[in-house]
Amino acid sequence: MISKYRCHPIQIIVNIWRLLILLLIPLIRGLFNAITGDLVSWLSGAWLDICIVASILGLGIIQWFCKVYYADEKGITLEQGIIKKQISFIPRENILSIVTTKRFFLRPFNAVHVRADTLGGSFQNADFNVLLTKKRMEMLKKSLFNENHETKKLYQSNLIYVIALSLISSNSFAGIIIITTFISNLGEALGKELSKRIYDTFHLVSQKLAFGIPPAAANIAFILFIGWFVAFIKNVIKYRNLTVSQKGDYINVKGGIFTINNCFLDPKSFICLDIRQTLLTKIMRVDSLFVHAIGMGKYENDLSALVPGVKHKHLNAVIKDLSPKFVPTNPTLKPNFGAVMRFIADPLYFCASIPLLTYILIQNYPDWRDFLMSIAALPMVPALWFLAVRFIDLFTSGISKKNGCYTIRYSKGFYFHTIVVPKDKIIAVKTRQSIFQKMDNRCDVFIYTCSEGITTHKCRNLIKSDVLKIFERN
Amino acid sequence: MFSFNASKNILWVWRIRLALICLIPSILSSWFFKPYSVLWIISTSLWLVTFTFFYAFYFPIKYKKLSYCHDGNIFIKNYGVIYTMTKSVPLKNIQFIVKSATPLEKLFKIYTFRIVGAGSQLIATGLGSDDLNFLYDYIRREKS
Repeated sequence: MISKYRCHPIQIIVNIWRLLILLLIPLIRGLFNAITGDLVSWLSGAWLDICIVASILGLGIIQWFCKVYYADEKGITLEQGIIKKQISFIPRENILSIVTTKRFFLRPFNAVHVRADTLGGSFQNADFNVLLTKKRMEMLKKSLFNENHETKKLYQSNLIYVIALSLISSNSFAGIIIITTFISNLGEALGKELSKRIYDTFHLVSQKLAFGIPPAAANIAFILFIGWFVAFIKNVIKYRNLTVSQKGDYINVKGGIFTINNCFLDPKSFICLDIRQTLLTKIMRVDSLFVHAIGMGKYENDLSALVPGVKHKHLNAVIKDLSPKFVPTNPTLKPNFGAVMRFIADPLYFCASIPLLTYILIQNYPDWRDFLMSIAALPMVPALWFLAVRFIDLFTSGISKKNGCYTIRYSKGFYFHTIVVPKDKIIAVKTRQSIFQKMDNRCDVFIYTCSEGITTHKCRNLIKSDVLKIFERN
Repeated sequence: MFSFNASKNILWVWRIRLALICLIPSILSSWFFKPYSVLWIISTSLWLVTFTFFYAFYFPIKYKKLSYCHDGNIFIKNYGVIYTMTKSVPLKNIQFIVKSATPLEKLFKIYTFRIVGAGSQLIATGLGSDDLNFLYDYIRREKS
């Protein structure tokens, strides 16, 4: 007799909270007013809202009731759906990763998100995604894995390297979106007055810190800094306590403080390793190690870094412990120095057009001179940074092959990437030649891999016949 | 090689869905246009012609061309109306399988079977319960 299990009851709220939050908060605010005033007249006005909230809740309960799963040594079966009943079966051998996430606001309820992924299915959603109690999660893991193996710790993160990784990977715009969403939602919940006060306070502080810069420019710089800082704190919290260990055939990656992510990865799920550096960490000789694997990095709060930071001289030793076949090699195919314009043309356009545009705007709007001069300085910094990255890329990029694994070195945006990918994980290779490159037998190479989405790796200005030979396309 | 066609009941399901969809333009044209006015005649003719085309021509051909077969290693779907198409998924590439039925399909005792591979999927509609269970159990057994 197969035992079928239901998800954690809190799944009801998780399923419907986005709809419920729109109705419940004004309803509760109205109720507080009604308790101090006239309850009957509030009820006569709010009865429709109450009915809608009750039907959404009822739908959530039925959805939760109809979702059951069971797992055995053959695989996982999931039954769900109210009107359109669906039964999915995922064979055990095809499950390449299992990710459990303990979010801080679900911990008091003892609830854990569990996801399982295969090579197929959607890039946006996991193939199996449920919210379970901790006990059921352990039972599910036991039925899928043999947990009698010893755990061998391969790597434990160092706070300094976590801070270094967060410094390089934090994105101002991501942080700005987080803050504005938070303040807007706060305004929706507690009144527009509160969110207006927050924005006014922010404006006052940015004025005080302006130090002679025009106020509007100071506001923009302050917004960018606050956005970056919030994203930085978020990344430090995400990667703190990151440990990588080996249990039997599986690699276990665990990290986080408030939200704890725990990934069990079959080595077959590894598509490629990505060793990343920025200009600063390249000078400091520190690398960050990321992995493109099935099921990892699918959602925004997922872990994607295996090693936040390691000294360059220790990198190969760390990679050998994690996955011996993914050791990078030095490039054998490299671009020539004559291709310098192919590398620095894009950043040069920015470095030239920003001062030119500023000059044109100042000529047309002389009253805005101070503001425009301050604003022009802001994008010049990343433009010059980009130029430096592309110039260094000319000397470091290239492709090599050893033992059936390709090492591809290139830059994308502000990052230097070293990709180590086995031959069978490359889905396509494309070469592109301009008229001038055709004369020199040179080409740009695009290599495509697919983990949770298709990623393009681009190397510029390599010898075409060598490229075709190394990728066995001649 | 094991071959089978979709259940004939799938025609009923398609036709009922078509009738429900055609209710919308029929109601709208009666609502907005005066009966037997020029606009009413045009809009009614349009949806009637569409309905007749799909009911009498498109769906019967679609059903006739719809068939499935497998030989233990590969699962093949033959389909198409204007273009005749064949889609195949090797058994070893199957990542997971899903069987489902809407209330209308359940009424006519037919089911939809979705085979998801790495980078593609094959949707088999109009399967009877015997064919569905046979396929589901077979793939489950082979992939365990």
